[in-house]
Amino acid sequence: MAVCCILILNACKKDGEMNSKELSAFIKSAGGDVHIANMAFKRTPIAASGDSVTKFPAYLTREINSDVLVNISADESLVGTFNSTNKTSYVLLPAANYKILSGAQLTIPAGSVISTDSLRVQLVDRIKLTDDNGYVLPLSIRDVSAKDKGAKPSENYKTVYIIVKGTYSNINDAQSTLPGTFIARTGWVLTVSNTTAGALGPAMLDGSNTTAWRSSNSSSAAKWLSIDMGAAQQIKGFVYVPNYVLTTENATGINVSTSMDNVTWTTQGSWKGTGPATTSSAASPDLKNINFIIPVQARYFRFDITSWTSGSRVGIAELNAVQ
Amino acid sequence: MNINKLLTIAGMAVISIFSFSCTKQNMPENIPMKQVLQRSDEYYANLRAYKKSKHQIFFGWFGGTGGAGNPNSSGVLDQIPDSVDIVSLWGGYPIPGSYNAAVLQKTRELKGTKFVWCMFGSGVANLMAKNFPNVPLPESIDLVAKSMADTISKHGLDGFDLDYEPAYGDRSIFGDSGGSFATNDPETQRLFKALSQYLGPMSGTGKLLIIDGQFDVGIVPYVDYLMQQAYGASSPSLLQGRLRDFGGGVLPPEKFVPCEDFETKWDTGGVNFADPLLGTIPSLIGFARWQPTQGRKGGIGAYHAEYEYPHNPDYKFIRQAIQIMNPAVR
Repeated sequence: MAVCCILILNACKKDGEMNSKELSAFIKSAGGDVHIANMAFKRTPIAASGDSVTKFPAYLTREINSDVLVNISADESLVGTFNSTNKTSYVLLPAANYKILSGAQLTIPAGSVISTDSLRVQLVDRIKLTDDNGYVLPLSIRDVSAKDKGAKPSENYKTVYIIVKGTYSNINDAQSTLPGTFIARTGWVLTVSNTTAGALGPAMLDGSNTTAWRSSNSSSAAKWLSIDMGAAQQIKGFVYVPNYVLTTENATGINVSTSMDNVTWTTQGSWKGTGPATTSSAASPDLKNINFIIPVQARYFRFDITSWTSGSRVGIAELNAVQ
Repeated sequence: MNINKLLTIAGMAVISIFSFSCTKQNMPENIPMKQVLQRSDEYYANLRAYKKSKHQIFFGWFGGTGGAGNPNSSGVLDQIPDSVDIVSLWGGYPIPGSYNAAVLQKTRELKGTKFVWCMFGSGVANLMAKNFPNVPLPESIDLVAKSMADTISKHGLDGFDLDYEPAYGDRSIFGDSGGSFATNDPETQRLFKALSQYLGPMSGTGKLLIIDGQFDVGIVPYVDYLMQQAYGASSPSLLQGRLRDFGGGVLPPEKFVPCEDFETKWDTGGVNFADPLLGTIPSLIGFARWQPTQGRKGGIGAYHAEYEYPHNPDYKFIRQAIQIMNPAVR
């Protein structure tokens, strides 16, 4: 009888020690939103750069005296709820486009509140992640195991959503002269956002480096130009002669987009450049090259000028397309 | 026994029963009352672990802290929300040996809340003039730093918060070299370098070194946080501008803590803030939701945070803001 009592008492004691209350294992990102880990990368038709790996550890709400093992796996069922809650349209990150480098089990050692390793997720084949909506990968705690049976997965920190966004660019950072010939500009229809008297859009097509299209002097009105080539063309890039009427009125940033039908547009990327070299002139111009990484087949081309050297006006003297 | 006797006995018995019933009905009984919130040991262990973890903090200047306090009536120090990380003692540190001093120490130990001493730049300069009148300038800064660290140890506090407003009326040798936002001031830099031996990330002591109001570009490694008085900031771009201007282009986002003024705006949780997703919301909530473009912010704060106690539930905006930055783990 006495032995039985001792056994029962011991059992109770053990259960008490190893069944902690209010003890949760959880995962969170290091970002501003603890439930989201953002990955951003730049994608061209041939390569990708930027974030390729993200990681986060597992946590315990307080230290205990036994190890806690936390198993994490993708939970595809959460994508719909996430999108409706956040008013987003992310697509599930395809399994072929990521791998978990660390193994899916994290260990929080006894006496610690954080796992020794982190869950590390690597993106694979980023150039194939072409959906402009972006991608989401919900990673959730599948189970928690420990000698301490009180260790439970958290209800509200169970999932980290990895958000993957790629920015596409087909504009080459290299701005060297392209091999090829200028396409004939006959039949081009040019539209510009606004003008300054005596410096209208057709000045870009008149063959003279001393005349230029100059936008209005408005500090708020958008500055853009659009070309209808009359028929679809295969274009490698553009070459323009800077505005030498006033050299301080030149573009330093242009967003280039293209279209086959003037309705659906494809963003090709952003060109970053500088104003004309001070040693250059209309007679000896500092030609600016906007080069596509791979040639574009399109009828309509649009330049949205996002930044310029100074003031509120921007201009171009001559514009040519290379085929 | 005749019938009369029997009736008498029966009658007495009935009366006795009634009497008993009456006695019973008049017995005082306990009425169930709402219990004062009792937290478990596990709750406090989790809270302390949370306070030690890396997260966006909540900071408050709390007034009314310098008195003796009274165990029979609840005061400011009794009511600080559990999840407040750092309390700057705007009302001074409690009288040593007082009830309030004991509450402060108990709050530190039980909840992991940190309490820092707060002084203006001119206050530090006055302390130098009083204690080290004949010591030349650079050396007297080093000496005052040591005595400030001693004061912090003596009162069992967790660090120091310099109220640095040289361009906003608090004139002293600290910050007198100019600059409306971030300064580049040799005396301020000397002070923080000297303090960094005892306080802040360079000290290894775990004690906090904080600057608030303006900032100095030469003290980045010495300080834990800039508590920026972004009072009335009504949009993310204004907060971003505060980081740019007051951070002097060198302050990392994780040391930047924009603060709202609850002395005047406690009842509305701040001014109207234009949140990009939610539209118009109270600015303290907007601050909590905002993140710098460079990365995660250090946290947020409030001046005269204790003014918000009368809300129902008490401290409702501060609690909501903390839950936005760090939802409680359930």
